[in-house]
Amino acid sequence: MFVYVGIASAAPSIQIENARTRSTAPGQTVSGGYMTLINNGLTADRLLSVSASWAGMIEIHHTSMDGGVMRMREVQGGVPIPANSRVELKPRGMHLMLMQLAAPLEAGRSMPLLLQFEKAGAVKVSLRVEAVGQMP
Amino acid sequence: MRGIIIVLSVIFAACAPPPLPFNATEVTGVSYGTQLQIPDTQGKSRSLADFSGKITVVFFGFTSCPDVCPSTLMRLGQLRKSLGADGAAVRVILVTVDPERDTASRLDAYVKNFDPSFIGLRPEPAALESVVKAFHAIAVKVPTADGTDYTIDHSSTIYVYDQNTRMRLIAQADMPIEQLAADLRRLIADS
Repeated sequence: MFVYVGIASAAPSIQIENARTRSTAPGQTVSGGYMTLINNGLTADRLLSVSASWAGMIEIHHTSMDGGVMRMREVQGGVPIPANSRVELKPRGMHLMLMQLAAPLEAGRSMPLLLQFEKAGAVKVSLRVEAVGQMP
Repeated sequence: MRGIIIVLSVIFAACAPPPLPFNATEVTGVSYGTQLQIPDTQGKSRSLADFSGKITVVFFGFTSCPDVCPSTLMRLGQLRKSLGADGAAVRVILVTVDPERDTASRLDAYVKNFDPSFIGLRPEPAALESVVKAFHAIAVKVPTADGTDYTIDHSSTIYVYDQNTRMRLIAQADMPIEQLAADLRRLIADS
């Protein structure tokens, strides 16, 4: 039991898994970013903002489908990540809106991303670019 | 007893079994969009009649849509593949609701990135409202938080026309692809 607690407190409190985006066609300036945010800590945290050198603007959006209409809205106040929990950014749900792309995203590449958390501070993530035909 | 069985057999033989419902909503008799002429990415004016002989699947979207549009287009690409040889009988058309930003070349590259057979149609900005209305759909610009950009709320319905370009089905964008594929197989077999 002591060993378990010791490991838990030594591990970074925020972990990111399966960070990915779709490849884009020439001229396309927007793509969606997805990942699993894992809070191993004993206190709640919050994803406040995201930035990258290759995207002029990144917002956190939520997609809703209501009455056959697709709507996207910015998530206000960041994404809460309760203690000891996983939060999914996934297609047709909460996602990163990667805007003003400097160049097309090529399948197979990895793009650096900086996530800013309220407690954990800055966390670097590598975003895997997947072919559009592969990713839902 | 034997008499009863014979009578029942005759009754069943006389009545063809009623067709099973489609997974999507059947709208046979409705004709959204069939009168429209919309330019394709080569600038050529197209109408649904141009696609007779194919099952035509129409969807609204735009290239700056990061989530639902690529997800739906990817799934429509999977749909064609899942139909095997019959996939060639299915034509997927994306009508952009953002003709101001979606130039013809940009729209063309976008749809062909999902499947080289996909077709992009680009209404002139002044014609967009009438095109959207013809499908009883909506498309509304919504500025991003800082006001420098915009996204577009839009109908994500999938419209399906048979090989005689009669409107037959409407499906929601999140309908499981296997269900839609089963419907399209029936339309292909019926014609």
